[in-house]
Amino acid sequence: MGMIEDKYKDKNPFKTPDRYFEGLTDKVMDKIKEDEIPAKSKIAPMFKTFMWMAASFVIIFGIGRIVIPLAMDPTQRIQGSSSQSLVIEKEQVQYDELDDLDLSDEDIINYLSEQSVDDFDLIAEL
Amino acid sequence: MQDKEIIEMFSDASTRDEAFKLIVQNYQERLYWHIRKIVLSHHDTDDVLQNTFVKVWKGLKNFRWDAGLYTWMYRIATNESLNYLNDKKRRGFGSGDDVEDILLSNLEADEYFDGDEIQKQLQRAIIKLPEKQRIVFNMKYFDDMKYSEISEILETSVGALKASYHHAVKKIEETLRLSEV
Repeated sequence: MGMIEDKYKDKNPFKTPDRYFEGLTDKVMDKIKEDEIPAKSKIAPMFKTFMWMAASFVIIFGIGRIVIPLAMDPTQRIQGSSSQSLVIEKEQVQYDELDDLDLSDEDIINYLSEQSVDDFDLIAEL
Repeated sequence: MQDKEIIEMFSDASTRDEAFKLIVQNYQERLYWHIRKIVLSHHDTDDVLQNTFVKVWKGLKNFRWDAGLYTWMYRIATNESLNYLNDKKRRGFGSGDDVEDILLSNLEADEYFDGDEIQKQLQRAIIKLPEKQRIVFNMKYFDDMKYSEISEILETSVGALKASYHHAVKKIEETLRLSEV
């Protein structure tokens, strides 16, 4: 073992910053106190962050519900709106019922002449 | 003040901080140099030493005198150092994937290494050793610890330690001889 025996033993090649050990006790005590902060107060900020994320998601979802239908084309909008499509379907059923009555043009003209409809009413209907 | 008295102080909540400060002051330098020889860079040593003391604080409430306080703390410091290096390896620090690469890079980059080229060569040769041999060599060669003390800290038989040290010396000599050629 002659080659390394006692050759490098005495001189320590490693150094520390000046006065490193003087401040170490306080650093260690600070780290211990920081580490001892109860788990509850560490969870609280995490819960807060989670609540903020959830609230943001709800807001983005709400905005999406309003903005996306407006951006769609008018045809899709009618199909997308349930109350409007119900009205269209109801009118279609009424026209189909008239076809079933098998009325001639003459019957229709007679029916209209019996009604007291004046020009003002027609304009108002428009 | 003896370790036993300090531990008694620690068990009393009103004097716990004061007792622990005494423990830090009494052991900080010895533990620092033990850790420094394992991880090599000052900054890593500072991290590991603080983690060691946090572990000591947590474990001291349940400390039993199966081993001395000093032996127990040395064991924690050794484990923390090795875990720190393995954790660094897992996170992909250093130029390669091995602890050896991490240690080489620690040695080259450490602004608090003040040795000459021969001392650097010795450190490079130590880095090449397997983990256990490296620790045994440092404790025996630099810290001049007794095999019985090292045996308690590393929980390894004296015979196995002697063999580890012998192999370590042979390998270091061989590495140094090759580097001189």
